[in-house]
This record gives sequence, structure tokens and C-alpha cells, in this order.
Amino acid sequence: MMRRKRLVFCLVLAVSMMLAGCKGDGGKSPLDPKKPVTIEVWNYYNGDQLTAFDSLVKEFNESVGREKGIIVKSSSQGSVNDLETNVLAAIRGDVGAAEVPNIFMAYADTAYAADQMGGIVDLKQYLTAEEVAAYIDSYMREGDFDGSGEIKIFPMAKSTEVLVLNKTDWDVFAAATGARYEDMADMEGLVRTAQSYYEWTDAQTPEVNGDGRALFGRDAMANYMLIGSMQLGTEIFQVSDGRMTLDFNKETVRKLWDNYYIPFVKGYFAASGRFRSDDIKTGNIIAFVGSSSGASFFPETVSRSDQESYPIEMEVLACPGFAGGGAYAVQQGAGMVVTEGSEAEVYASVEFLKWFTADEQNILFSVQSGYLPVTRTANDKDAILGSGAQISQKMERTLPVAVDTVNRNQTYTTKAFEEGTKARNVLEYAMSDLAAQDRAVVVERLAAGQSLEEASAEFCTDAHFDAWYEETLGRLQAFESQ
Amino acid sequence: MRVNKQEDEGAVKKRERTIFREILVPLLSVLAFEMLFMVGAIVAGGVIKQLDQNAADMLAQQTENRGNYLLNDMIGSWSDLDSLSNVIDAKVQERLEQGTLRLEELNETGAGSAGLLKEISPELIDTMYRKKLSGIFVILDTRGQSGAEASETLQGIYLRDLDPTATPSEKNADLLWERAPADVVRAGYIATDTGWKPGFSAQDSTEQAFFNKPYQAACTDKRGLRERDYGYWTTKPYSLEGDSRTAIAFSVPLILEDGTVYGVLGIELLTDYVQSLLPDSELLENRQGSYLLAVDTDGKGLLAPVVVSSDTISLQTAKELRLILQEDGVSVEDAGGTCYGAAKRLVLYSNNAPFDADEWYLLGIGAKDSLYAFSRQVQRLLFLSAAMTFVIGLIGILAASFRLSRPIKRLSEEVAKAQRDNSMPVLSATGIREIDRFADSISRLGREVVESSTRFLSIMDMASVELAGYELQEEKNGVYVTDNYFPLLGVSGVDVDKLTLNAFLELQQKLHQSLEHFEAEDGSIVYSVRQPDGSLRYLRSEQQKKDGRQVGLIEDVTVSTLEKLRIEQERDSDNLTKLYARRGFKREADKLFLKPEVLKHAGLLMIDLDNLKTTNDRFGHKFGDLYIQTAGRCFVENTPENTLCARMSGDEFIVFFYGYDSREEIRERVAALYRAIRAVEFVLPNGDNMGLSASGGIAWYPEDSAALSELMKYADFAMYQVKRSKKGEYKEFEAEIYQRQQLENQSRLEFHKMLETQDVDYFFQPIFDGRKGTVYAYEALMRVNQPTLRLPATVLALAREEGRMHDIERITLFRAAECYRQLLEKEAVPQEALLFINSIADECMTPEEEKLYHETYSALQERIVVELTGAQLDMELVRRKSSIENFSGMFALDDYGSGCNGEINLLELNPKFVKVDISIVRDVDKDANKQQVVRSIVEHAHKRDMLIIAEGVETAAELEKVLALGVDLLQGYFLARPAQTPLPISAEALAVINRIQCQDTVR
Repeated sequence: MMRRKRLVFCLVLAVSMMLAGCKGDGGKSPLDPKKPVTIEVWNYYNGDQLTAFDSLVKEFNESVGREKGIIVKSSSQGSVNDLETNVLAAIRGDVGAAEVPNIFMAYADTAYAADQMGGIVDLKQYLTAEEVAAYIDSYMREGDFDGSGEIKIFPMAKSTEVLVLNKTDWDVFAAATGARYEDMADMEGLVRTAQSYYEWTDAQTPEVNGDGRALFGRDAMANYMLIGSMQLGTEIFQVSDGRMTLDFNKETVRKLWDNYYIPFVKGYFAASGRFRSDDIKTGNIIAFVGSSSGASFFPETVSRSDQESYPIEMEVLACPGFAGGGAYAVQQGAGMVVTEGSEAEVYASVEFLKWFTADEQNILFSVQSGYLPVTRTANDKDAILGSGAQISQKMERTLPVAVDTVNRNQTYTTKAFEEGTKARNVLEYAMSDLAAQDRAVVVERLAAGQSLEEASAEFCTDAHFDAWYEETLGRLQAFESQ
Repeated sequence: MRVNKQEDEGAVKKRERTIFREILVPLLSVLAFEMLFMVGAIVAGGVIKQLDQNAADMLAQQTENRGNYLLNDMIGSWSDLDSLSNVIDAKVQERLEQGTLRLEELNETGAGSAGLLKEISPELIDTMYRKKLSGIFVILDTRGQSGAEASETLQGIYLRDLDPTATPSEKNADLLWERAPADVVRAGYIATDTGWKPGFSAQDSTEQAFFNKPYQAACTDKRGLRERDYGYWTTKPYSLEGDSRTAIAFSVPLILEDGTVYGVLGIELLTDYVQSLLPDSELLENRQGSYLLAVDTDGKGLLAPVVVSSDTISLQTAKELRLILQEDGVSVEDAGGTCYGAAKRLVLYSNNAPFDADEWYLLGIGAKDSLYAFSRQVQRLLFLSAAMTFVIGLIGILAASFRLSRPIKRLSEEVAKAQRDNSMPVLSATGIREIDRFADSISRLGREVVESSTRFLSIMDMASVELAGYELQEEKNGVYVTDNYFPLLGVSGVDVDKLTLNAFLELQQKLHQSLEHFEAEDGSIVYSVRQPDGSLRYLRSEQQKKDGRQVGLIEDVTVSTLEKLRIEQERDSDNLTKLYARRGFKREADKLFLKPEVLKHAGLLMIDLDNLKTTNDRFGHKFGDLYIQTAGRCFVENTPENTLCARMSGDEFIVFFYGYDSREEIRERVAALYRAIRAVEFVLPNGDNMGLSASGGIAWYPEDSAALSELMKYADFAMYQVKRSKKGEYKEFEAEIYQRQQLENQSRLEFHKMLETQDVDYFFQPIFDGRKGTVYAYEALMRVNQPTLRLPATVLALAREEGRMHDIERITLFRAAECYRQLLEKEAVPQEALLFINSIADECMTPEEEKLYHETYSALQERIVVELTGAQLDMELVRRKSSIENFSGMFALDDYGSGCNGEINLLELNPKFVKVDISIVRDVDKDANKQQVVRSIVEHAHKRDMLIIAEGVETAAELEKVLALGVDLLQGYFLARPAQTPLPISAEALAVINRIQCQDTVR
């Protein structure tokens, strides 16, 4: 009797299992290759960086992603600012905003702002101590907002600033004047060299007054202000625990003024359009300090017009600092922020990021984008050059210098604080906007026949600096935490 | 019979089927029909076909909808460039008119073209943002039909927005220059793309359809249409020099008022962007569908794909497909013909516009496998469930058939086996109620049949004694007799097999008559059969008749019968004397007592042999037995026939004379017996002679009692009287003596009971003050609540006899105090009154009792007066009494003058109270002597501060006298009787007291 009952029970069980279908293998991974999880990643890449990123995403989707059941969809939001605007709008749930992506790229400030709104995953729980240790410390610490060791930003690719040079045109100048790269080793030397380049070019056409050309431009004025200050011994935004204390030291700022505003007004430095690489392209300048990640944008040719176009060579030098100042270099490049979602989504996001930053992929991305690898083992000249990845000439020049810069200097980036982006924007534009505005006046005066001295005299006064300083100080103080 | 059965089997065989098959086949038929019906319904119902059609319809509908969206963008938004081109035209016109621009300048690098481009670029950016375009461009060329040299660079701008759906960036930061003069680049805040060039090479302009198609159309067409009418959608994706992105574009010529064509204005849509607007995921599950934007350029119905949005096919593979336009969609000719396509025509051009030959379509294409996936799944599921139903049904049917048929099969096998073994089938339970009941009935029936034939055998086999039996069936005239039946009854030579019913009955009748037999206690008949060896064999015969069947059994009960007879013998007679034993006597006597006419007058003589014990002791039991035997013989020999002689026990005999007309006759017989007894002589072992001595008691029937037991009791009583007085005599029963004795025994029993239960109450009789008539004290008087034992004097007498005086003393002291305490609690007695308790003079409480008494009644003790009586008081004991802790020390001398308590006691005790005995008080008023006694004791007492109590005052005269004699306290029925709750003084007595008191006062 008992055996018959057992038989019946087994039969029923078997049938119900057949009907229900086999379900649940109970593994630890919440992923199912048959039902892939789609991960939305927002970046702000353009050009080669976007191409590099997308091709790696594609590779991931076709290999690890397919195997594990992850589909990564990346979309570029255009620029950092757009990305920030869109992300914050999505998190706030603004009308018309997109769905919050699973991963978005963000600088510390944006990540901090997003974290304040909630919904940012602390990745520490998804990473082993060993995994964390593989990354360069300062990169990992960037996402530790509350000092508890949390990881709210996953480092992906970093960059620093380098001095990029239109070697073709420089060589002509150097041959004529005996200028050397070493002349531009420090800030003061750079200004002197720029002056000499202006004068040399002005002399090319003696019949035209004040048509000297600028040698140099800067992409990121805020970096100049912040790193310059650090080199000179003051940290403008002193942040602890999300609270910012301002140290806008007048002496330091004056030195920054003297080494940017003054040469700019005089035409030794220049900036037009959005990126200095465009100024190189249009022949406006022949050198600039810009992000190592911008190297790929360095033009192959200079086109002063469609009639006058010639190929140029590129040289990359270390970013000059203030003579006798501290050895600081900027650390920049956004990290990846993972938003809260289903367990599978977060798990998949972390899987993707880990894969992306594994040495092989990270170096590959590095050589294609100009960004620097984020792990200790990959952030190495030899490792990069010896990786076997196809490397362009531009990258071959840029990466060693950038890696050296990171390794030899103390890298610095502002810590996140509320409205840090806006405060940073004040530093970005306050000096450069005034410089551009005043330079326009000088150009008019030069055209009217005044000498450079005459034309710029009005702007090279203490009073002019003081007025600007006070105004800027006031604007910055507004961001100081109460 | 057997033959018949085989015939039956043979006949049935042709149609015979197993029960398993009987159940299985119909159920299987039903299942098969169900299956047919199910499969038929699926196949014939056209459900699958309908599902397929639905899927195709849905694909078509989706394509239609998406096409409408796209058309809306293409026609309603993207290609509507009128306002922009008007602005550009106006600006160029204005400059030409002002003379600030010459037309030729537009073909060259310089301030002229750059200035214009700088000025119109905000308009372009605005339009690009507004229409969510991925790119916008203006290319300037004024040379008309002749066109530019291939080496020449055209001026213009080409802007691109890589995130057209995103909100416009501040400072146009998300835009890139693809083409723009350096001046224009420097002037704005827009970055250059990596492929940036200051101008358009021929490869990017004159050789491109987006430029030359509308440009040439405008130049060659003489109709002078509006700019928009020359609009052209590129039918092939293109990419700019130095750029890898592919795009399609719509462009219109820029025409001045005079008809001069001076350039092209266009919008660009990156292929990626178009793809994102055609979400292939919406078509089919798992992104198995594809959207194709395709165009038919030659009107032959063969479509060329332009943009492919698909996860499954690329543009390259799409180009290899032959997409042929059909009436209801598009046929996709691929390797296996496995695709289905729906088409939505996008009408982009007006009729008769230059490029209206290009017919645009949006195709929704899906592999049939995916498209029909759902219906295939449904189909699979349906067939699977049909199959499952079939399998489960089949298993179920098999299981059910097996389950149902198995027990039946097993039953049939069990029956078959039983038949083979010629045994009774043991049918196991099937668990199916009906079958079990059926099987049960069958087996019960079978058992009954078998039982009737095997019953005897089995019984006989089991029996420990020899058994024989028979069964008679009247209807069938059947006789079954066991072979040993007749031999057992001592008859041989009967052939049982041939015996008929009547012959058997006859034989049995004969035997019953010839054989000695008696009826046993249970009603059966026991035959005794003389065996050849002369011994007797007892055979118990029993028969039952029921429903025309008679069953009989004989059983050898020789052993038990002999045993029983022996026991009966032993019980009824005495071994030693061969007289009746107690039981035998009882039985015989009981029989007689049922017949008073036989008894008439009877006398029961109870005899007890004297000196048996000493004889036994002195000469041993053997001689004792001889002594008894001799006595027994003597009794038998010296009494008439009709006398029952019995030895009751040891030395006790009964000789029961009956059937006489008077007691006198019996007395004579008894006397004769006694003479004979006295005549007997023994020679003792020591040589001395010894006579037989027996004490006897006679009770008479019916005079003393008509009941045997009573007679025996009375005779016994009489005998014991003799035994106590003068042995060897006999005496007749005397009822009076007997009853007195009984009463005494009763009182004694009650006395013990009283002691045991302490069921003694105390009544209280007040002792009054002779002057005031108030209560002075109470005397506690014992009241025994037993049926015969009531008088305190009897109690005391018994106590003395039984040596229980101490108990009485204790009970008196404790119970009297207890009763009095209860009265005090009820306030039935005044607090100050004293309590007289009669104490037994020569008893004292033990120390433990004293302690308990003190603990319990210490409050009372001070008022207790111990009343003593006795001829000679033991002063030692009196002192012990007075030394009891807390004792008041007051004694009362009771019964003074009665002769018991005399002067000696008075002197020695020196009591507080003296009670003048009732015998003195009675008639004291009439007897001067008594008066003298009272007078002298009063005189004596008063001198010694003693108080005199007159006891038993019963008349007014006595009261007057004792008062007159100076008695202090009064007690007696005249004043108040004893009662549980004391009574007040009677009115008469009080009146007397008051009167005398008055007289005294007057005196």
C-alpha cells in the first residue's frame, strides 16, 4: 500500500515538474544568460573616445555579456554638463526627463549631488578588498564622500594635463630664435617663450602692426587656477565632510593673473572657440595645455583657411608648473556611478565596470582614448607600450608623458561639495572671460595703430587686478559652506 | 456435480474476458475519443492559422504605425525647410543689394562667405535643435549648371549634433563642426570634429547626391518651382570625407529671387539616429524583427534598403535580399524564403516633383520562425498537453484497471487455491467495501456449510475427553453419527452409515431406558455405563434442537463425576464418626424443615463432649479421635431411626429428634440417650476407666422457634449454660435467661461504642441559691445516647466491670467542660456560675491529659467544682486531683447521708460543698430523723465554712423544710430538671423561696 502511494506521489511530482518546467537553478549570480539584463550607460564621450568606448561595449556584449546575460547600451549625452543636467533631472524625476541610467559618468561634484538625492549604490559591497586594492588609491578615494570608505564612484579612466605642441611650426620658430622645450619647463618660462614667439611672428610682417601670434592657450582654466594655487601653496576649495572653506589667497591669485591674464591681454596667449585643439587646427596657437585625453583631438593638419592647409607633427611635453612650486598635477576624468536598481542590474553594472577596467581592456581604451588606466599595474608606461595594443602616434607620445606626470606628481582634484561645479565654473570663466573681453579691446586699439604697450596699459594695473579679485572673491564666497 | 461445472466453464469460455480488460477497454476508448476530439479541434479549428494571421497583422500594424511616425517627422518636420531657406535667401539678397557681397565671393574663402556663414549659423543651429536633427549644412556654389571645377573647394558649413534628442547644450557645447571656415570656427564656441575641414571638397559636395541632385534639378528645371519642390532625400547613406559615420540627408537648393541657384541647404540624419527612431524591438519578441527604410527608385517594385534597424541583419545583408513589393506587403526573397515583410509607403514627394519617382517604404520584416513563434508555441503546448493528457490518462486508466481488477483477481485465485487444497478459502480484504462485503458473505456462507459438516470433528478433536456426537436433519432424513457414538454407550455392532433417522431415534430411546442415568445440575443427562471390567463410566449427554436439526453430544465425564461424587460424600459426612457433617446435616434438616407435618414436634439437642481437650492433651489425638468415635456411635445407637445425628465440629454434636406428638416423648428419648451416654466406659491408655461426658442443650420445635438456625442457637445457649454450671448434664432452653443475657451483651457493646465515639452528652441541672433563688452553679450530668445503655449508673457499673473507669473520668471531665463551654459561648449560662462535675474518686487524669485540659479549658478551670462520691476516698488521689494546674481547689462531697459518703470523708476531704443525698431529702419534711441528719450536717458545715446543697428536692414541702433547716443551695426536679440547655427556676419553687425569705426578713 505504502509503495503504491509513493509511486503515485512520484508520478504526480514528475508530471507537475514537467508542466511547470524546470525553474530556478539557485546559483549565486542573479543573472540569467537566457534573460539578459540590459544596462544603460550614459557617458559624455565624443570622437575617438566615444568610438573606443562603444567598441569595447560591443566587445563586452559579444563576449562576457552574452555569456553572463548582460547587455550594455551606452549613449553619449554630448558633454559633461549635458550629462550632469540630464542625470540630475532623471534622478529628480523632472517632467520629460529620461529614465535614470544604471551607470552614468560623473565627476565627483555631480556624483556627490546625485548621492545627496539618494539612489547611488555604494560599490564597496560588490568588490573584494583585493579588487579595491588593484586600483590607484586616490582614484578610489574620490567616491568616498563621507570618509567611511564607501565607493560611490568607480574609476574608469583618468587623465591629467600635458603640454601639447605643434612641433612643425615650433621647429620653425625654434630654428629662428633658438627656443628650446626646456624654456617652457615652468610657467614663467612659458610666458617668456610666448612673448618671444609673439614678437618673432609680429616681426614677420613689419608692415602690419600687432599681428603677432599667440603661442599658447589653455583648455581648462579652473585646473590652472586650482593646480596653480596648490603649487603655490594654497588650496582654494578646502573641503572636509562636504563643507567647503575658501582660501582665495590674493598673492597666489595675483601670480596666476600675471601668468595668464597679462600674457593673454598682450596676445601671447590666446583662446578662441571651445577647445584649444581647434586653435591649433586653425593655426591660432601652436601649443596648449590640455587633458591627456584630448590628445586624440590634436589635428593632423592646420587649416588657416581652405586655401592654406598643411600637415603638422605633434609633440607632448610635461605640463609646466610654477617655478619653485609644489609638484602637483591635476587628476581628472569622470568615474562611473552606479544607480540603484534590481539586484541583477547592479550586479551586472559592477560586472561590466570590472571588466572594463581590467588591465587589457583598460589599456586598450587608454591607447584609443588618451585616458590613463586606473589600476596600478596598467598605469605604467611599459605596460601600456608593451601591451601589444595598436597605438597611434599621438598616443604613443601622450601616454608616457601623462603616466609620468601622474606618477611623479601628487595628483590633485577638488573634493566634492555642494554646488562645487558652479564654484569651479567661476574659476573657469572669471579670469578667461575678462581676458578675452579685454583682449578684444586691445586688438581694436592695435588695429587703430596703438602699440601693444599703449593698448594694454590700462589692463596691466594693480587696480584692474584688485577690482577683478574683489568681484571674483565675492562670487566664490557665495559657495562657501555656512 | 463436477461434470456439470466443467460444462459450464466450457460454455462460458467463448465469451470470457478478464475484469481487467472489461475495465480497461471502455476507458481506453473514451480516452482515444477524447484525444481524437482534442487533436481534431486544434487542427480543424484553424486556431493556429488564425494566430499566424494575427501575428502577421500585428507586424503590419506596427509597421504602419511606425511608418506614420517616421513620415510625420520626415514630412512634417525635417524636410520643412522653407522658413530657414527664406531667411538665408533674404540675408544673401540683402547683402547683394547692399553691395557688401558679390555673388562670386560665395565661391571663395574670405570675409564674404565667412561673414554670411557666421551670420546664418545661429539660424541653422536653432533649426537643428528644433527639428532634433543630427546635422545641418549649407553649401554655397553660384556657378549653376556648369558647376565648379572638381579641384575646387566649396564654401559652407556642416554642423553636427551627436545627441539630437538631448536638450540643447549651453553655448552649443554638444555641437561639432564638420565643415566651416576657420574664421567661423574661431568666432564661436563650437568644437571641431576630428574630420573638420574649412571647406567642402568635390567629394563632399558636387559628387554627393545631397548636393548635386537638388542643385542640378533646380538649375535644369525650367518650371521655376519653389525651393522645396526640388527637395531630395538621399537614397543611399553617405559619409563625409574623414568621417566614418553614415547618414542620409534631405536637401533643397537655395535660389535667389532671380532664379539664381547659389547653393544647397540640407539636413542630415545619421543612420544611427534613424535606427534609434525605428526600434526593431517593438516588432517581434527578442528583437527578432527588422525595420528597413527602403526606396524603389525605378518603379519596378524592387526595393533598395537605405537604413536598417535590426539586430539580425545588417545593411550589407539587407542589400542582398530581394525585396519585392507586393499588394499586401513585401515579399522577402532570401535563401530559405523564411521571412515575412510588411510595407508602409512613405509619400515624401509631391506629385510631379522632380524626384517623385523615388518611392519610399518602411518595411517591417520578421523571420517567420519568430513571427509565428507564439502560434508555434501554442501549437506545441496544445499538442504537448494532448500528449500529456493521453499519457496521464493512460497511466491513470491502467492504474485504475489494475487496482480494481487486482483484488477481484486475487479473490478468484484464493478461491481457486482453496478448491485445489480442498480447504476453506481465506479471502483477503480488498479495501473495496462492496467486494469485501460480497467476499465476506461468500466466505461466511461457505464457512457455515463447512461448519455443519466439520463441527463435531473439530470439537471432538479439541476435547480432552472422549466425545461422540450425532446430527439429525429431519427434513433430509439425514443422520450423521460419529463412529464412536454407540461404542461409547456400550453398544456395539451398529453400522452408523446405514442408520436411518427413525432407527437411530429408536435405538437411542432404548438406551435411555436401559442405561442408569441421572440429571446433572446443568440439565444434561449423565448415563452410567457398566464397563466390561466392572467399573462405571459416566457419559454426559446433551442435545440441541433447532430449525429441524438436532445435534447431540455425549461426553465422557467419568473422571469429573467420580470426583464430584467423592467431594459431595466428604462434605456431607464426617469421616471419623460417619455421621452427617455440618453440611450434610444442614441439607437434611433443611429438607425436613420444609415439611412441618413430618417434623411435628422436634427437639434439637446440642451436645458438647466434655473433657475432650484434656483427653487430647493427656492421651493424644488418636485417643481423642477414639473418644469422638465412641460418642458418635453411642448417639446413633441410642436414638430411634428418625433422628438426625451430626458432628458439627470437633467435640460438638447435634442430635435432632423429630416426628413426635409432644415434647414429653422427646424428653424421654433424650433421657434415654443420656442414660446410655453415662453408661459408656473407656479404658484409658494408662489403664484407668473413663466415662463419656457430654453437656447438652435442647431447643424445641416449634415452641422455641420454627427456624433451624434459631433452634441451633438456642440449643447452643442452653448447652453453654450447662457447660458453665455443671458439665455432663443437659438443660432445656429458657427464653428469659437468653434475652437477659442478650441485653447485657448489647449494653456492653454500646458501652464500648460509646467509649470509642465519645458520644456522650452532658445535661446541666442548676443549683440555686437558697436565699435569692438565683443560679449558683450547675451540675453536669452524663447523658448516654445509646439504644439500651442510658443510665449513668449502668455505664459506671460497666466501666468498673470492664476496667474502663479512667476513660469515663476523662470523658466526663473533657466532655462536660466542652458542653459547658459551648453554653457559655451561647450565653445560656451566667458567667459567674460554678460547674459541678462528677469525678470518679479513684481515677486521675494522666499528666498529658492534664496538660491538654489546661490548654483547652483553663478559663473554666477556676469555676469547676469536683464532686466526689465513694465509700472511702483515697486521699492520695484527691490530692493529685487538687494539684491539677489552675484547679479551683473546690470539692463537693456527693451523696452525703446515703451511706456511701460518710463522716470520714467529710472530715478528711474538708470540701467546700456537701451535697445531702436525695435519700435524706426525700420526705424530709415528714421524717424527723432525716431532719436531724440535715440539721447536724448544716451545723457542722456552717462552722467550717462549707455550703450545704440539698439534692433531689422534688416537692414544695421538702424545699420549705430544707430551707428551714438551713440548707444553702438547692437542686432538684422541683426547682429545675436537668437539660441540655439549663432551665430557669420553676415559678413554684421561686415562690416558695421568696415566701420563706420574706418570713426570715420579717423575723
